[in-house]
Amino acid sequence: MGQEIGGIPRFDIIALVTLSKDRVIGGRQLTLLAENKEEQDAISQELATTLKGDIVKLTFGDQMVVRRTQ
Amino acid sequence: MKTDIISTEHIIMIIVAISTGTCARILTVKEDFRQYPSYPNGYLTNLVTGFVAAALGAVAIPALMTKNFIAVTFLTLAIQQFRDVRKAERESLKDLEDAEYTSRGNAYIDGIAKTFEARNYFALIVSFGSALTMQLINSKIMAINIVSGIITGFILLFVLKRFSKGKTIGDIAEVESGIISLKNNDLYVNGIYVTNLLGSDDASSLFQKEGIAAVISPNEERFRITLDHFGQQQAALFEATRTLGLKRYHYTRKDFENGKVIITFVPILKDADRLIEAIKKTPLLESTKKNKDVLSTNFVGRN
Repeated sequence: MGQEIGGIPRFDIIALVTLSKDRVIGGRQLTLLAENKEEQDAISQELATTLKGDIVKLTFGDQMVVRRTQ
Repeated sequence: MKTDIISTEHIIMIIVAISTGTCARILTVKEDFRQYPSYPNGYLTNLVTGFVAAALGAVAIPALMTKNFIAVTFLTLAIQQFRDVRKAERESLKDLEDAEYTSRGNAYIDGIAKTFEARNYFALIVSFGSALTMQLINSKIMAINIVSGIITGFILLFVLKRFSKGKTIGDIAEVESGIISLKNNDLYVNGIYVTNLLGSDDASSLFQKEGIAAVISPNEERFRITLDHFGQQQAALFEATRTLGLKRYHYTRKDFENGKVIITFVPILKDADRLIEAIKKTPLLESTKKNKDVLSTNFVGRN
């Protein structure tokens, strides 16, 4: 059990890359529907590289591209 | 008219006191592993302000001896000048925050700025003590006055340096190298969860291959109060990344259960010994000193 130092870090969710169209919902972030795992990985990677973000792989297959703002 | 001219004894006293005070500042400007102040402009600025401080301390005794009591009030100028030194250092370091690998943090900057201010007081006190000794001894043989002034100055400098010497993380905690592992894109150091931000294969393989980690374990439970301070951890991370450089990613984490603090990042130079040394030598910030053992100091050095 641990906690990141410096109180609560703030992140922007830049994009959500999912394989399920049911999870394509509104929001500030860009949400993309990938056709397969390979495409999902490639999209996340390219977005993260371009926008200097980090990729978080969620347990049920979705991928988030986030960027720490503080 | 001649009574208005300062005597030879006083001129010698001022010269000796200024030299001793400036010497004190030269000896306390150190460019160590932290690489601050930067050479040579930082050096020059600090030496000149040290010289001015020494001059202010040196002329106080001759001013008193010539019944020029009002002139002593210029010592208030010294206080103002030193506060300006602190302010200038603080502004300068804050301006650099965005240019560093990681930020120093306000607590660390405050500590550094205060140290610069205090070292100007060293120059003033040493030169004042030197001049006072020469006046008190007042031997007919000038060499005795000069030597006693210089000796007093250096004794004062020694005592002040020992008195103001702070402690470091190495004094209150064990620092050891940590083992990095990745499970399902989650980063662990010595089995302690750090982050899940290494989701891409590139990130995780880079961290696995080139990452470095250190684990800081407090020697006693009460030292957690100091180590858990955000500014203190930020200072340790800053020193670590500046020593080894930062290629990408830096994470810090504290473990609630046993108070361990994890510092991990991808360095430019992968050298675990230097990492441990840099963290151990990170000064304990004045603002984090909240227990008697860390706060206590004495005139002959560390406990």
